[in-house]
Amino acid sequence: MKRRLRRLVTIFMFVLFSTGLLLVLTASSTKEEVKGSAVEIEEWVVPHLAPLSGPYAGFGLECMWACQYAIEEINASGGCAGKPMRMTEYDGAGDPHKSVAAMSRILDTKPLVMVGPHITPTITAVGPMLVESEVYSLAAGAGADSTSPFFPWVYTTLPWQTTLCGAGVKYWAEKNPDMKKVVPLRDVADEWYKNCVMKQTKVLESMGLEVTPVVTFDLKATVDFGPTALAALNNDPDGVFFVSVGDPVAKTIVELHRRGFKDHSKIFVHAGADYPGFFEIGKGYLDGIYMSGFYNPQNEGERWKAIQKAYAQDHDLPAGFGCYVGMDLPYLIKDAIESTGVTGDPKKLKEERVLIRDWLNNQKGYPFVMGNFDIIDGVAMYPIFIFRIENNQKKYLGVSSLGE
Amino acid sequence: MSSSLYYFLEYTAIFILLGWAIYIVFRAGQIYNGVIFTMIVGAYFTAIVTTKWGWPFFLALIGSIGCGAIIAFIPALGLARTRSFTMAIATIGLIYILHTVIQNIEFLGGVRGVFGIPRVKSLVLISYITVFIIGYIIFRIDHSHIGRAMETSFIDPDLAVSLGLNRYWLSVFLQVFAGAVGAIAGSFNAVLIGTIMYQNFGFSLLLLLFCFLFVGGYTTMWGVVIFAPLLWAVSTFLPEAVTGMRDLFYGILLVIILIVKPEGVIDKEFLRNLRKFSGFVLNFLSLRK
Repeated sequence: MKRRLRRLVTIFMFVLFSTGLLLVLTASSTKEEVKGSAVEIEEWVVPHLAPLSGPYAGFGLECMWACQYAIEEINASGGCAGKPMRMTEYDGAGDPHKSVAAMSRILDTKPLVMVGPHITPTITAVGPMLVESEVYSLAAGAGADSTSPFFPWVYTTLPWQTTLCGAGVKYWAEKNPDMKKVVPLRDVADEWYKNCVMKQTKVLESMGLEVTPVVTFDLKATVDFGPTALAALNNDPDGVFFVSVGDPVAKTIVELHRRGFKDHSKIFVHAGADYPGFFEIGKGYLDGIYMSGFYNPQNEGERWKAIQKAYAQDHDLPAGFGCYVGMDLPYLIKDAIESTGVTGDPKKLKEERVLIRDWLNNQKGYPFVMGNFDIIDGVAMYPIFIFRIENNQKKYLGVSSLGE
Repeated sequence: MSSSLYYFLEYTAIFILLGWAIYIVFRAGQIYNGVIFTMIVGAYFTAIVTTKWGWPFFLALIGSIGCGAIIAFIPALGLARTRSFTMAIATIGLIYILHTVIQNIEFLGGVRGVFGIPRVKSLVLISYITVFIIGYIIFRIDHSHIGRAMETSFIDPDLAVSLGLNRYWLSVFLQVFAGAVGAIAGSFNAVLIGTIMYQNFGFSLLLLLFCFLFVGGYTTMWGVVIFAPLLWAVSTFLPEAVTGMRDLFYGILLVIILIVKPEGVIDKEFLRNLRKFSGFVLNFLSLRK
């Protein structure tokens, strides 16, 4: 009986193998055709590579949702240059190898322009492919520090850390003049966060504060944040500031609170933590915390209010960073296509990619959801917004800058 | 060649090399995760010498092999005496030690990584020639007295020692060999992607390799050859809705195989049956002539 079962498993595996071999052999001749590929296309197909699974899925799924929402809006109001837009989804899982595999499939479709990936480890893996293939991508969430090596083929919504990070902690330190010693905590993996902390440290030290050595944790590997909180408290700080995505920050704040660090005005959280998950995990422990943000959820603009309402209806959660990043991307592409007059003709693909690239890399006063800002060399020049958490919600205080 | 087929072939070559590196040490009864450790060494060596000093790729590859072998040799002197489980844990620890070292050395790119690694023409051809050479070496090892020593050590380590087998130096030799092969894979990975970050080499890659090895079969070298491309094709060529479930698919497959056929699909019995079958076919064809 067992022998028969083993034989059956072997036969099944070889059927699987043959199917796989067939897929491989046919793959090189299989191409997604650009519809109406002769001269005029019937729709604009935009591939989007995002982390739809894995540790960054919270951001990736939100961003994808916002992009699809924006595309529905665009198509409802007549489309892009009179033709509908369609976004195809590819999951990079926040993993470099999987992102490269997904990117290779995207390149086979010969896209005019694409979106993503948004996470630093994946943009560094995929960036060279974008440059080699001369495909422009709106890797909005990746940060200028990560995307700059691939200029001019990558756009980002997150400006250089030197123009933003220090502004938030400056505001916080000014509101807490009694703080003398602070400890930074960050996710070990991201280059953007490391540079952020360096800049914040410089700013705080110039204001006369002592900044202890950084306490780090690994977003992918750390499960219990008690030791992280202890490591921070061992420095006997007056204040604590975080640079990371939401879940570890919220968990560490809970652990800090349980260990006696209860004056939340002495906690500053950088904008990267602003996900719905942060507020869910930290509920009851977050009031009084200062937080910076790349966008203002209390923005009074009609477009933002509409997306917030729609997201809350679909997910029972407030719209977050992923929505703010994703919402503008299809509109940027639409405006680039309409302004440059590209046709999507496969025969003109190379030159039309360059037209799109050059248009998107530099714009004056582009109307983003959050306001009108310049795009300079592929970087959207957003200011930093400051909030304080009350009743587990962000309350907008104003903007901050270093004057740089 | 389409982009997806190019990257698929390259990754397959890299995974076959890594799978063989784990296989060769496991045949002697030890689980060696140090292939990822030496893969990082090989990748960074290649990245640094090609970007900062302009070395040609072949020289970088030879240097990576040397570095990988030396880096594998040092811990091997201690790990060779350990049991399988201890070696597995210790070699995972080595990976994270190396991650921490790289994070804190700016010359190695730190957290940012190394960019602008020059591309290599005909990389697919070079990779598969290397796979054939390494495969031939492993085939010869498997069918030599070293292979028989590995088999004995796997089945009963104490019996192997009582028969006069020097398990210690056998383990050191296999770890060094596996380290060199891991470094080759790292070198190919670096020039394939063009950038490297230490986070690219970690636990998820290790799990993938163990899936290829244990599903394909760990008692022969052919399991990895057949099942690495097959299972990786799931990530590359199936519709997006399916590729999103690949980890679930790998996990279920691994559990089923470990329960129903723990030695994997391609084992020695399978190869014997295949030889009999091919002998029968050849006889049939010669009779018909």
